Amino acid sequence: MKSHYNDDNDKQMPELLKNMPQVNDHLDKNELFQRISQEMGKSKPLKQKKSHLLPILSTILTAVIILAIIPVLFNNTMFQSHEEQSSNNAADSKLAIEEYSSRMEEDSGQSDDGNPEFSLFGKKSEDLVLNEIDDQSDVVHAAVTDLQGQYVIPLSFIKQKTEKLTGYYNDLENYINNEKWGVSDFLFKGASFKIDYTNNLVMVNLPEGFSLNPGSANANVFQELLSNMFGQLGLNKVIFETIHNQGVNLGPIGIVKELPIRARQKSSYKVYQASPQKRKFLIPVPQTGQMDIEAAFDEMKQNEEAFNVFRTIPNDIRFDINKSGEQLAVTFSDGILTDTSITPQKKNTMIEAMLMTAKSYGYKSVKFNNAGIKKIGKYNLAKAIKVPLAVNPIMHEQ
Amino acid sequence: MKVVFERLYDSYHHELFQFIFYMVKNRQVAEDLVQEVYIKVLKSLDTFKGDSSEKTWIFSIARYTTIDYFRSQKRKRSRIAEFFDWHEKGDSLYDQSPLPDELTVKNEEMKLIYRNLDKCTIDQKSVLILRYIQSFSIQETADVLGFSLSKVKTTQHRGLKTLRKLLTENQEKEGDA
Repeated sequence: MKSHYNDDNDKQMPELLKNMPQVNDHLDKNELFQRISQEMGKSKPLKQKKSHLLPILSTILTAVIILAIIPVLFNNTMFQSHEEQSSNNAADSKLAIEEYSSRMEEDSGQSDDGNPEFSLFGKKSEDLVLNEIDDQSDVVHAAVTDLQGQYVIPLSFIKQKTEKLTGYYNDLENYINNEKWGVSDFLFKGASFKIDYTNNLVMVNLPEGFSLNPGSANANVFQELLSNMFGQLGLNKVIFETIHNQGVNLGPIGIVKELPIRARQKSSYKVYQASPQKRKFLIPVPQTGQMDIEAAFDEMKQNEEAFNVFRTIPNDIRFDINKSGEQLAVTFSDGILTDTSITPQKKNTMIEAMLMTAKSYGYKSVKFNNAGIKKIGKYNLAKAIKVPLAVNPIMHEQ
Repeated sequence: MKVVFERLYDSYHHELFQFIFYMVKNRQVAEDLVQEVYIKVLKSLDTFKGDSSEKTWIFSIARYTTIDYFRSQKRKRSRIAEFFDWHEKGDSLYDQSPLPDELTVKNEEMKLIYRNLDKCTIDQKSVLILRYIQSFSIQETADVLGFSLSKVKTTQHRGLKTLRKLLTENQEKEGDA
């Protein structure tokens, strides 16, 4: 029997679709507005409570600082005093960050061989990945979300090995400058963390009254944030310590006492920037289904302007992929990277985003072939480049 | 805020609800997601740059919100599947969602299209809904989905082809029966 749905009848299927019924919302406009107002108001009480405390705390802190400084000034031993206090965790971490920043500047200075591609490395804010650290330091992984709570933004901090990791996690909220960066507030404000390496878990004590706003996205993002923060430490479970051990309400997931830490997801790395004045971040856009790395790279050419998420591979860039064990080879179409309409910064961001995407697919290094130029930024394209240690390093804050 | 909400509601609500409803095929879920979209829009209206039209910006937020919902459902199903081996059943359960009232009076062909839209990819389904049920132009569809014009045309072509194939298969099955 010949079907009447055949390719020769091009207009039939569109006509059928156009005749699909109009579907109306039965919910009243005013009721919808009330629900929205309620939801938008829900996240505010905790913040308001904190903002009332802020001036009081600031006053107390100022008084303490003045009392501490006056005797120091009189004795003219300010520098000694500073050294004596250097065992303090916060001071240690600041020192580590400053040392690291200055090392990065020195490194970029040494490798500047007159290639204009290097000139962009005077700007610390443009470093979107962390390639290496010295053996006296460790990486601390943190995460926030974009302003709409749609995507997780991983962050990495450097701490000295002598400094306690748990202490650093508990102080994280002080290092995250959400308003200046154009990201959401740190979700774990007021929370404390205890890491149990014996059982590969982290215990999280959430502040009283903590709850997630309802919505399909929030619970998933919550779990993703924790997975980004602790997954790379080899931990596999989060236990929530709550009063009377009643668990924490995670909206669609329900009330839970523990959550598994998810394995790293295969992702396409794109740039998030809330507005031109705000900081840029590389963010993983998780891939659905069995998308291979070619498709993940293709996805990196798409903007998602509604979320201030932007492509990291310019549309015109063409390349082939070859996979060989833990190394990925990307062979560009002839001379495509010599195109001067693509700024050095964009090329650099493309390399960093491709390296991070390759990392999420389990590759250890990437060899870029046929680029037409020897170096992009600090990356020597003559050799295979190791995938970065971490993304979005926060060097000096800020 | 109410004035802004009322303006958005009066301008886009019917189309917005209908788009999300056809994507998720569940009235309750569509209501929740529409609410989520309004919250996101109201929170970020200040940062809207005006590079695209307000309409396509709002629909792109709606599209990502529904995709995020699909992701969360997929994760939920795979968590359950770790305990029970009901992958097949899980899929068939999804297909059994009740028809909307508006469709129960329509003919079998319409109902088949409604059911089979889910068998297209999410991109194909989005393009078909926007282009034909919502009457968006190719440019508007491209803006909402972040596609090039040619990608919209290719996806539209493939989506129509998929639907045609599925309906033909169904027709043949009925012929055999």
